[in-house]
Amino acid sequence: MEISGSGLGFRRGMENDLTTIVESNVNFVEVAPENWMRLGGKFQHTLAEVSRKIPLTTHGLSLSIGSPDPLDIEFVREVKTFMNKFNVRHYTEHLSYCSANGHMYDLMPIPFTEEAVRYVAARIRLVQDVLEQQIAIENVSYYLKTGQELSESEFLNAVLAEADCKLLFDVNNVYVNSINHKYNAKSFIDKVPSERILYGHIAGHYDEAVDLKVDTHGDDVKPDVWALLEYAYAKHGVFPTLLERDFNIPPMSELLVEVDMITAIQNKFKRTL
Amino acid sequence: MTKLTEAQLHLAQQIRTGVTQSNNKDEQRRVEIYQELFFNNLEDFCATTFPVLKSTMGTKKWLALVRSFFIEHQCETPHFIEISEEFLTYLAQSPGTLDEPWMLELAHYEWVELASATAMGDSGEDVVSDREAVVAEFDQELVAVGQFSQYLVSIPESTWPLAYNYPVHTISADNKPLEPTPTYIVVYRDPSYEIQFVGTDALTVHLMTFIQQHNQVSFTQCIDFLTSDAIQLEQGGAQQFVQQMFAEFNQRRAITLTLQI
Repeated sequence: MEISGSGLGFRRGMENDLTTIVESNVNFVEVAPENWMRLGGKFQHTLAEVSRKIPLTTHGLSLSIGSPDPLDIEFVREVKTFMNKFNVRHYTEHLSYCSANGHMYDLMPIPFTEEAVRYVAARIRLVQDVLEQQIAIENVSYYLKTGQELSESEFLNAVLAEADCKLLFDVNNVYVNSINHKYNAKSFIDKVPSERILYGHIAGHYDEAVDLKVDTHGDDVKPDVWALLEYAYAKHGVFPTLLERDFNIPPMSELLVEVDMITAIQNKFKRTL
Repeated sequence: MTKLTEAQLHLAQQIRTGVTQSNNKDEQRRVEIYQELFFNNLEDFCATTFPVLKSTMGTKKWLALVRSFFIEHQCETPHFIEISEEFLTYLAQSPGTLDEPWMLELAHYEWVELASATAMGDSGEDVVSDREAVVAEFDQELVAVGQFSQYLVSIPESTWPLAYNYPVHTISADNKPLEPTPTYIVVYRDPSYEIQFVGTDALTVHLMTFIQQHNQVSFTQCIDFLTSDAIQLEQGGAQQFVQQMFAEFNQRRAITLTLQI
């Protein structure tokens, strides 16, 4: 099923909130396939129920699209089976890598070089061939520059063009990176190709220092980030947007206030269209 | 090696070891963020599955163990729930990483709990209700008269017959075993998806393992197994044993009985 409006990242532990989620402003939910597809017991049962009640999208964590390790085609096929089983329309991943001589289970920044653009784009194309559909890649937060031949914006846009894939546009990551690497967030947003945006992410981050923010998904969305989401809608038109929360998860009623905020901002722009 | 690969392996190595190879203060601080995020994430996955092992080792040794796992072991699985299986594999392949002989068995036992909770099979609503129907019919008509001969038995993926040298289910930081005590346990998932364990005897574990290895066997095959040269129970005793085992574990829903056609 196609996604629209506002969404929520669905985590284990939210099982009992499913009815509340379905009845709220949440129009779609997202799961990490790696967290669900090898889980039997009550978990497959939960996911089947979710997919019957609300459009489901997948946001992968372990594909490791930029990794020096070989692409795990068997894993991609497993994702495809998972998507068919639960009627999932989209697969998204991070423009990043999480393995190098074995999996490391968190995201590392790809050097912004021409060589990396070609390498990553070829691997995205391969994944798209196996899945027989376009995927969307997310602009990730990063704390360290490991190659500066290109700017982050140039790197992202070059990969999107060469891979001919969609963008999962993470607005919080734009904010975090703009502080960490001292660039202008709005001009980064300006340069994103509107037609490639599949949907957006918004989340809270942690203030490690004045000049260093960490993308923890463990806090409420900051006012500056809401403002950037508004700016992005003004620039590119309204796109479906999903709230991510992975740590310090508050009661569902509090999370839904932030989802309502997404819906409210979207409505503001829809009225002016 | 390409320039790209070289840069990536360099960062990955600094993250794994926790040792920063830069004289630049700002770069050090930034690499340290990755080192902390990655290590804490991995430690969290391990600690969630192995809380008792962690508590019996103490924090300092535990953290050193997770660090050596991170540095020395190449994790193959992209699935987060299988990280603890990678950790268990590492422990089994690396003698000397654990101080006490019972620690590996304890780790295995803690991992089985996760393996049982997440095992495939009997997951969908339909499958569960089918199984419930079969079991209900079986209970009503046959258990009362002890008629097991018409049924085939199998062990669901979520049921684990286990034999250990130490009483792993009673170990805690305050209760470490001093000497070996042969210990037999069946871990299983009940119909409400809760994980249960029950202490049992060597013969039950032996019989269940036999059933597991043959996927599905008849009541008669179970008796034949117990009366074979390997075990040498006499016919009457074997029959009584299999009957009791079927009755108990069927009641617990730890075995699957299917009507033989």
